[in-house]
Amino acid sequence: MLKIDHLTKKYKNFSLDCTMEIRPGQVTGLIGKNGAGKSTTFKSILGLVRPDGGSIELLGKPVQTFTKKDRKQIGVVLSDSGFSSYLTIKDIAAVLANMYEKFDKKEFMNRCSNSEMPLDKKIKEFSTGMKAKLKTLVAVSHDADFLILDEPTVGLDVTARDEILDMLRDYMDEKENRAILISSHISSDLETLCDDLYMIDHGQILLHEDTDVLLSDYAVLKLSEEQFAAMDKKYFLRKKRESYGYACLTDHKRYYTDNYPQIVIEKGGIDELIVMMAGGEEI
Amino acid sequence: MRGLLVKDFRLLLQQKMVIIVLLVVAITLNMNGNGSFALGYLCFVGIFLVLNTLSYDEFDNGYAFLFTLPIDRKTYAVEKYVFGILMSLICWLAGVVITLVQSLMGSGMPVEQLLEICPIYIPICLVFLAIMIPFPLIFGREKGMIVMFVIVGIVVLFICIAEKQFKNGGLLVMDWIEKSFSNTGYLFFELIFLAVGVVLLAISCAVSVAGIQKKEF
Repeated sequence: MLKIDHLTKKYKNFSLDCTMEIRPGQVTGLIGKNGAGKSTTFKSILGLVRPDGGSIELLGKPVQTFTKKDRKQIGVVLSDSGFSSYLTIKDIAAVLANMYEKFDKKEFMNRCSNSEMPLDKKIKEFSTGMKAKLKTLVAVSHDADFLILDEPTVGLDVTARDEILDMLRDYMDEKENRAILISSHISSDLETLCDDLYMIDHGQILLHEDTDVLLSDYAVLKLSEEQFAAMDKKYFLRKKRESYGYACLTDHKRYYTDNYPQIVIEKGGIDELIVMMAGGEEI
Repeated sequence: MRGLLVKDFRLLLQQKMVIIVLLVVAITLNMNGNGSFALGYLCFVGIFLVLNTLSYDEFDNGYAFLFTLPIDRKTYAVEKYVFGILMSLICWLAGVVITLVQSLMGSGMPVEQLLEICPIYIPICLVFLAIMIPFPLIFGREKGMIVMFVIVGIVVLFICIAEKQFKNGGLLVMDWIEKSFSNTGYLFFELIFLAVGVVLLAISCAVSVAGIQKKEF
C-alpha cells in the first residue's frame, strides 16, 4: 500500500529520515511525541510538502505521479485542517458527491445523523468531538482503499475516541486488503487498533514491531546498581539512570523473568517504550 | 472542478444576509445616484465575494486538507478564475437589471446610453480579477494584500510618470482615447478592452497556477 524509502526532509532545526512499509490488510501506527516528525511524514506522503530526498510509493505509484483519480482511493484526516468551518454537513455532502463517484450521500447523512451531528449547522458551531467524528466519517465514506489519519483522536474524551476507533475497525472489516496508517501520541488508542507500530523521534524511526510482540515481549526492568552490574545485558535495548539505579528496556521479557525472578519487571506498555527508546541511552 | 465550484457557491450561500444587504444598498444608492451606480458597485461586490472564498479556503490551515481531496493544484487555481467569471457575470446581470429597471421607470440615465456603457463593465471585471486573484492565492491573504498594494502602487506611479512624459511630448493618452471614442463609438473600444481583459486573465491564471504549484502546506 505504502512504501517509504529514506524519505528526507530538512527544516531549520529538524531533519527527517524515514523508512516504512504498510501492507494491505494492516493497520499501522506511527507513534511519537510532539515534533517527532509524524505530521511531516504524512504531509510528504500526501504531497503537501516536497521531500528533499528518498522515495514514496503509494498504492504502487510514486506520489509525484499521483493523479486526481488516484486520490479518490485514499481517505485523509489531518489533525489541524479540514473543510471550511463555514460549511454545513449538507454542504460537505454535496461537495463530496461531486468529487467521489463511490461516495454514498444517503449513507453519509444517515451516519452523521446517527452520531447526533446537526446537518444544517455550520461546522464552526460543532463540539471538538463532533468535528473529529465528521473528519473520520468523511475519510471512510467514499470506499477508499487506504486511510491516512494524522492524530484523528487528538483532544477527544474517551467516549469520542472509542467511537472513532470503532468506525475504523468497521472500515477494516468491510473489505479485505484495506489499510490504515494512523499517527497518535495516545498509546492506548494504538495498542487496541494497530497490527504494528513505528516509533519516531527527532525525525528518525527508532523501532518497528508488531503490537502483540511489543506488548508481550517488551518490558522495563527496574534494577539497583548492584543488580545492573551483575545482569546479563545482551537483551538490553536502552538504559536510563533513575534514583533507584537503572531502568532498562528489553525485548526479551521471558528471558529475564525466567533467569532473574527476583528483579522488578514492569510490563512494557507503549508509553514506557517511548520514554525509554527516546530518552534512554543505547547499550 | 465541479466539487470546488459547489463548495464555493455553497460558501457564498452561507452569506445570504450579506448579499441581500449589498443588493439593497445597490438599489438604494442607484436611485439616489446617476442611475448606473449599481453596475460598477455590484461588479466589485462580485470580485469581493470571489476573494472571500480564497480567505475561507486559507482560514484555519484549510488548504492542507483541500489538497488531499481528488483535485490538483492547477484545477484549484483555474477554478477560482472560472468562479470569478461566473460571479462577475451574475453580478453584472444583476446590475444591468437594476439600472435598466430604473431607466425604464424614467428616473435613471437614458436606456440607449445605459446599453452603450453596460458592456464595458465586463472587461473591467476581468482586469480586476486578473490583478486581484494571484496575490492572495500565491502569498496568502495578509502578505498578498501587501504585495498587491505595492505592485499596484508601482504601476500607478509608472503610469503617472509616463503620462507626464507623453504630455511633455504633446500626446495625452486620455485625450487620444476620448477623440477615438467620438470617432468610432463605444463598441470598438469595448471589444479591444474585452480582448485585453481576456489576455490579462489568461496571463494571471498562468501565474497563479505556477505560483500555487510551488507552495507547501
